Amino acid sequence: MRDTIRNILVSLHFFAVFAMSCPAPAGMNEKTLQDEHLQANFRDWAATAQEVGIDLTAEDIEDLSWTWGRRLLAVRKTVLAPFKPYYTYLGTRQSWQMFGYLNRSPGRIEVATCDEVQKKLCTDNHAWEWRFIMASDEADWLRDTIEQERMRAIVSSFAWKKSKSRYNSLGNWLAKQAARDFPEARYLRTRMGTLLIPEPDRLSELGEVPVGGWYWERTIRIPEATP
Amino acid sequence: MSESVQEVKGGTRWMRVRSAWQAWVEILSTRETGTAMAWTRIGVGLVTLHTMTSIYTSGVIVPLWANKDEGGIINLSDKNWLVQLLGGPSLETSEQLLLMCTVACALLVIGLGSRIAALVALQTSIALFSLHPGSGGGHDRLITNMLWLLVLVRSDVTLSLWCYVRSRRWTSSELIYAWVRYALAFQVTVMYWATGVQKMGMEWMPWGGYDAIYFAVLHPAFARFDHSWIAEVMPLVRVATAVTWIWEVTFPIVLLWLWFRRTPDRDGRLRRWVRRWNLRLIYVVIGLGMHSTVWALMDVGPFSPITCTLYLSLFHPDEYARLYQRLRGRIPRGTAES
Repeated sequence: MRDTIRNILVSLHFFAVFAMSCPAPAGMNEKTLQDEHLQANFRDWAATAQEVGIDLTAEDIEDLSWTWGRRLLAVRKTVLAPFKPYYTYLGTRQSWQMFGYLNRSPGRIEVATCDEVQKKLCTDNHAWEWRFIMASDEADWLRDTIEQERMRAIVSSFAWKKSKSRYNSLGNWLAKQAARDFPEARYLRTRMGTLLIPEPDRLSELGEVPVGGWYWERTIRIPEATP
Repeated sequence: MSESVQEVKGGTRWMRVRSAWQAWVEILSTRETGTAMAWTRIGVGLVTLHTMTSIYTSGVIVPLWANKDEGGIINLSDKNWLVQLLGGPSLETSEQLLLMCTVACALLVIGLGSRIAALVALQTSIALFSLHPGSGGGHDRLITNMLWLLVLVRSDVTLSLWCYVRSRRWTSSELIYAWVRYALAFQVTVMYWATGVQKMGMEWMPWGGYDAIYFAVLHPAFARFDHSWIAEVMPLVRVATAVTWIWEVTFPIVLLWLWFRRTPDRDGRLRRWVRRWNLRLIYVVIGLGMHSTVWALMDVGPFSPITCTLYLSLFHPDEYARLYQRLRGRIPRGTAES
């Protein structure tokens, strides 16, 4: 009897692991479907299909993904429901989406400070001093912290334009650190630089990945600074 | 007449199900010496220990595991039962969890109270990772998966302090259930297969130029250094991309190979063909090469070492014994001692 119970439980473990790891478009909704990287991927697949004589457009692929993705998710949710406590309390959750889609224009975080009392005097050509730029050897303030593996995991979501509220929280935290490390500083500026990773031949010519613009630009008054 | 045919068919089907279940039970009842699980225990313990100590040493405990008013970036999540039990999310709770996990991992490595140590390490890890969601990755899930399986097996019957305390010997040939090792082998197979089939980006495909590794390595959030030089070695990058994708998607072949090896009495063209090569060794060597490269070029936390620890489960304890004998035979005793 004891052996039978053990065998049933072990079999359920194998099933739970397999069912949870089965590919599913987790987090798929109408908003995530509009993600520019995913849309680019639909266009690439449509072009490939057209090349081999299959008449599919990017919209068709999006429709198919939406329809079948939702059905798949519904079935998956039903199958996984009884195992939810097993995943939650015993750490057996599975999710293995690793570099499924590549980001050709990822963002990198950049941090600057300005000593000017008046914000309008902090200009690019004048007062901003770049303190940290991801992967830079020159602007390396708090590098050991920001580039630590667990912090990288957080920063990597910003590279996909996700978790903006956490980005703002990180900015506020950096402002507090700046108050300690740069007592003269009055303002802290954070932004995400978009790296436009070129085709390999072009990168050979350029020698480095160019920055194509910025997003999430934010200026924060350093908390303990006095005017 | 037709009813009796249906009855016979139904009976045959039932017999088949029964026979398949009996075969499955036989597999799950297999026992073996604990060497493979002991090495896995030591590997998981060391990787988790390093993960926890690096949180201390790198100074991210305050920004990531403290509330805003204590110097943290966000207010910590309070969803985990252990966090609530310890008084709610705070820097103090985080430090307590980190300390408990570190001690449990150390016990796991030396092999003392391994099942309890694995359970403590598991629950404290889950609690710690839950406090700041998004500050980890797949490696955390792999760690907790492996710790749970270590709770279910007596991994300290050999190569452990517990073994020494009991018998004044560091090794023992005591038998343990083999199904946990099978579950680990299944875990690594499922992981690679699932990640492979989800690689739908055009860059992983031949018609997409096999440029995926090029773009992955240049991602600023993961690159260890400036890898602009990678554009100069694109033929190598393309081969590596193709090999990675094919290797991941076809990893279940390793399980098939292990099954064929377990059932040598059966015959067939596919079996004969597959068993001509040591496919397991080929897949393991490619995996070690791939993870070493990832580790050298990218900072993705303990993903490479914890995954390579899973490989230990792909080998039968007898193979460890043979390897040990071979190493002992080849290395002169005096040289080893000196």
